[in-house]
Amino acid sequence: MRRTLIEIRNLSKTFGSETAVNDVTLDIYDQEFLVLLGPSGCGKTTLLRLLGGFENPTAGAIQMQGRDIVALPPNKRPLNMVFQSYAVFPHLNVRDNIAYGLRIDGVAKRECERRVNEALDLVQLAALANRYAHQLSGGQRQRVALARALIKRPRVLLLDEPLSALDAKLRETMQNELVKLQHTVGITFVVVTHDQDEALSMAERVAVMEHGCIRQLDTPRTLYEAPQNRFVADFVGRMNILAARPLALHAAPLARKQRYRVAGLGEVTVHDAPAKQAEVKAKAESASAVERAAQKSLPPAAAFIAIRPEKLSIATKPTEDHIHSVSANIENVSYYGGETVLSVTTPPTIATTSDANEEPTGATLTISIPNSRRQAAAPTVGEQVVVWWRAEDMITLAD
Amino acid sequence: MKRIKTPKAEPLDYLRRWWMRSFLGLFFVLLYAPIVTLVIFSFNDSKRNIVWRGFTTKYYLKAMENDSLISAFVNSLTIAVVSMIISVVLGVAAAVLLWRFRFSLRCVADGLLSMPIVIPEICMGVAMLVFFNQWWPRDLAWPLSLGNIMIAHITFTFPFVAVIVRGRLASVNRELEKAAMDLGATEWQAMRDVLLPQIRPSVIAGALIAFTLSLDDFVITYFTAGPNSITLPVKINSMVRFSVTPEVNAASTVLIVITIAAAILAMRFQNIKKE
Repeated sequence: MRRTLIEIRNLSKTFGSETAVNDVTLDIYDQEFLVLLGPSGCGKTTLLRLLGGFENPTAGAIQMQGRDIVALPPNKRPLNMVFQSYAVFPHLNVRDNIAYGLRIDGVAKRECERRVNEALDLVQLAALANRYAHQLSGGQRQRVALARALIKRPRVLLLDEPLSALDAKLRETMQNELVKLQHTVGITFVVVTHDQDEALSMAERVAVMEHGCIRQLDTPRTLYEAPQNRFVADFVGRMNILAARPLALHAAPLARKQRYRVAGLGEVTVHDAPAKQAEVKAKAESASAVERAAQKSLPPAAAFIAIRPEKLSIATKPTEDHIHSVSANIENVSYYGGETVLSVTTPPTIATTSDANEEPTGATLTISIPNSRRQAAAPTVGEQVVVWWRAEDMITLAD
Repeated sequence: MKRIKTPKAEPLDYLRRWWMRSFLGLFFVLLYAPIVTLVIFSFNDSKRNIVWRGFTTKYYLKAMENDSLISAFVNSLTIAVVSMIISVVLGVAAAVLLWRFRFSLRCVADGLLSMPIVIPEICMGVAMLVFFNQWWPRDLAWPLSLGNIMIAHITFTFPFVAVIVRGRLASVNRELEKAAMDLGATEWQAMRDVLLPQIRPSVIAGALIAFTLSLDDFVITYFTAGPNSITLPVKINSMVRFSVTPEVNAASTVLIVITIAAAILAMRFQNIKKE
């Protein structure tokens, strides 16, 4: 278990009638790379600004190593921030920008100079020390902002959309550099972003936010492969989400197989993820407890089946291996270089067995096919294919 | 003989059209002819100043020997300097207030601030007259006797400073101040170290405009000036009542030169780009 550095407890912030941060409770660990991910207006930046001290919370507490920091103004908090615009002081050169925080603290001149040189080396800006902001590229400006914040030796560095002002190629490089930098300086990084690729590639843990609440806090892999709700499944990566109706429980509780009817796909059998099985097992000590746990985790009446586009494959003919397969018609083909994304529709089927009035509907699926061979045959619009997938790649979502 | 054709003007290249050029020419002639005439006739060797009688600088010397003219000039400069300083302080404060903070009636305050710019000067003048008549003591010692004129000038010059500084503030990144505070600066330190250097050119430009507005104001000053607090424009006006002598031209020319110099400086400070 890692050491907790910041404890956020029931933190809320409202602006007039709008709730930007809604009862957030979150532990930020020492030396971790935490990303706050969410669409614009989800409250991620407000949460960061609450940490930085630029907003006062409406309710709740922020403790840092047991000390309440809500009452501290930004200039007294042991956190530093890298702003979205980088906010490099335009009237000072790189060296004076970086030295500003030390000058304010009254650090002795020689010590100040030594630490500025250290910081310049850390972000590889020594050669540009006498330049002004307008003579620097976006990436260089960001490095000035990083050095300027890091020279204060904060316990936590807050970064507000640090890469959004950079072009795509540079963004990728800077993602790696940020992670490397975090390892070098060994402090906690809290990064706000709306870009899920950025979040997945950089973070140790990602907190996905919606309407001021954290909807899931997990490692990037868990977030992608086992999203806990529809919002996370939909927001992180591409996802096919289909309404499903559960059928009777199919096997013993611990095997945890569940059959669903899905409009456009027919009947599918979902295997619960092993982690979930272990959880159920751990909770259950006796046979009756197993029964109760199974009862508790019974799927609700309405649910969703989700599957990632890259976990769907196409074939020309159905074979016996394809336990889950459906014939489909290719509606659209988008070539992305590394992958080809297909949009296919399945013939209409009925999702429910009980409701006689229901219109049979087809499903539209997005499929991603890696272009792993140069000469691979390209799928064409209008082609009839068989879409197949594995039971364990399906995810059930309650809401 | 073959005429050399000038290249045909581009579609939006209006400055190459003859009618635009002649309009511009006429515009500048009408704009500057009176001023140029005034300056030329300040060197005219004639008492009546209607016909050119030859070049002389004696009226400049005569103007310098005119004690009441010089004291009016000193009054004008004193008023201009003092009201400039106070206008800058008030104007910058008002501009930063409106830019930085959100408060109720902010829009109202914003509108009220620019009222002195649009209210007719004559109304301001009469208002000032009525206002100061009630309570302003009449027999104060010299610099204090100019106090009511200074107050009147500050009233209409500080909104100009505020408007100019706000224009500059509009392009200042709000995160700069926050970054300074994040790095340990107090609000005052952040303002001194980060905000003021950003708006410095506009503050200087505003100051110079306040200075020139105060220096050559006539209408408002006329209503507030007492017998012991005559300013240069008011003095010139009283001299002109008798006759337009080259001495008046000379005094006016000095005023023009100071004003133009200040205006050019103001423009140069406005245009200073980041390095």
